[in-house]
Amino acid sequence: MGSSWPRGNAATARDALRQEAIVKTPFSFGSSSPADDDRTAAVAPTTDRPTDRPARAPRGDRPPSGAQDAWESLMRVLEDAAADPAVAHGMSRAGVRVRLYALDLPEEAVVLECQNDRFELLEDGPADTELGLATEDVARLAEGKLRTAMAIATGRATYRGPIRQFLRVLPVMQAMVNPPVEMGTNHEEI
Amino acid sequence: MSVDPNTAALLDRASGYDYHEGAIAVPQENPGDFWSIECIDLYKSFGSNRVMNGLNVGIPEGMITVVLGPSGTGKSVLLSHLIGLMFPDAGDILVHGQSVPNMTMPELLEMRKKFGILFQDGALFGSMNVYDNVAFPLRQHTDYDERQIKDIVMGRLNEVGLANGAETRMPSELSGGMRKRAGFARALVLDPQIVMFDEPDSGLDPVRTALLCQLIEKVHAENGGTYIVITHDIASARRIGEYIAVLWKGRIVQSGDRDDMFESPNPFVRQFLAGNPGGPLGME
Repeated sequence: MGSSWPRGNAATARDALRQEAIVKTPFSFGSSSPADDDRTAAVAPTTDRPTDRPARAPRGDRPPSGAQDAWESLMRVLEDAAADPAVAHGMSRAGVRVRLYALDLPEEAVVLECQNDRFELLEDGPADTELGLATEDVARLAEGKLRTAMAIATGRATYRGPIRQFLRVLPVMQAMVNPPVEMGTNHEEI
Repeated sequence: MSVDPNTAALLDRASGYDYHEGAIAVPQENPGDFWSIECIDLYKSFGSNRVMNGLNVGIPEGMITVVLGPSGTGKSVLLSHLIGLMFPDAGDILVHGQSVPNMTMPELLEMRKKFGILFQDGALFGSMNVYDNVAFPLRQHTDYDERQIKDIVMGRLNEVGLANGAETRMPSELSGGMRKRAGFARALVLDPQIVMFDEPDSGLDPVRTALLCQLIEKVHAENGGTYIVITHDIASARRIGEYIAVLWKGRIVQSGDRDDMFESPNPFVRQFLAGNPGGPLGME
C-alpha cells in the first residue's frame, strides 16, 4: 500500500519532490538563463524517490500546449469550490492537507486545506499528501471529468501520502462543475 | 442464463483464447492507496461448487464501480465477502488496507460501519414505518438524541425524495422503487465511506431503474465516497459505472475504465456488454 512520510518531514519531502520535478521537466518557460540551467543541472537525480508512483517521462523541451491555461482553470474551480459552502463542507471532510501540483509546470502548486470544516487554498505550507497531475488531467479535473484513482493506477498521476481521503471527496468538487443529470430530466435516455 | 464451466473450458481450449487474460487492474500488481478495496486471489467453494476461483479485483477510491456478470457467477457472494459476512477459503480482502479475514470481531464490527448497503428488496423492517427504518442504524450505533436523529433522517429522506409524507408509511404501503429509495436513505444514514448496491435494478421497470441510477449518481456527487453496484444490467452499468469489473466463472475477466470496457477486445466482455447471444457464454 502507498507509504507516507512523517508529518514533520512534509516540507522536506515537498522540496525533494519539487527538485525532482525540475529534473524531470528540463524546459524553462521562455527563459534560458544560465541561472536556470545551473539550477537544473545542479539537482542530481535521487535514488530515494519521493513519490510512490513511477515518474512521468519528460515531455521534451517545452511545456504542453495549454498547460498554464489548464492550471489557471483549475485554480478558478478550486476558488469557486472554496467559496461555495456546501462544496467546501464536502471537501473539508477529507481531513487532510493536500499539495496539488502540475507535473508539466514545476512552479505551479497549491496547498489545499481540507479539514476542520474548512476548504481553503494556501500558497504554501506543509501537506499530509501530494498529488501531481499531468496537463490533460489538470484540464479534466477542471472540467469535473477526471477519474483520479484511474489516473494514478495507470501511472499518469503521482501521489504521496494518504491520498485515499482526498480521492473520497473529490467527486463533490467535480460535480460542482460537471453536475449529474437532474432526476427525471434526462428525457432522451428514458 | 448460466455458465457451464466445462463448456467454457472447452471453448477456451478450442479457441486458444484465455478469457481471463484481460484483467488490467489487479491490486497486488499495482498496489496503492488509491484502491478502496482490494480482493487478492480469492477462492471460495460451497461443497463441490467453486464460486470464486482466484478472483482479483481492486475497487478504486472515490468512484462508482459496477461489478457485472451473468446470473450465478458469485456477485452477491463477493459482496458478502467484502463486509465480512463470508470469509474466503483462501486469499485476502483489504478494506482501506486492512485485511478483513484477519480481523477480530470488534474490528470487523467497526469496519462494517464504513459500509452502507442497499439490498435487492430494500430489506426494510416490515413492522416499522419508513422513518423508524431509516433511524434504526442511528439508534443502534450512535448516542444521538431524537432531535439529532430527526435532522439526519429527514435530511437523508429528502435526499432520496421521500420526505414528503412517505416517512410515516409502512414498507407494505410503498412501491418497489420507494422501498429501494428508503433502503438507500438507510444505507446513507451513518455517513458511510463505501456504499454497496446489490442489484438495485431488480424488480424495477426500465424508467424506475434509470431514475434510481440518476439518484445514485446525484447522491455520490453530493457525498463522494466509493460506490459499488452489483448488477447484470448493462444499461445501468453504462449509465453510472465509472469503473467496470466483469465477473465470470469465479474470476474477474476484465476490469477498467468504462469507456475502455465497452471497447474491449475480450470476446466474453464484448458478448456480455452487447447482450449478444453468440459467444463464449451460453445457456446451460
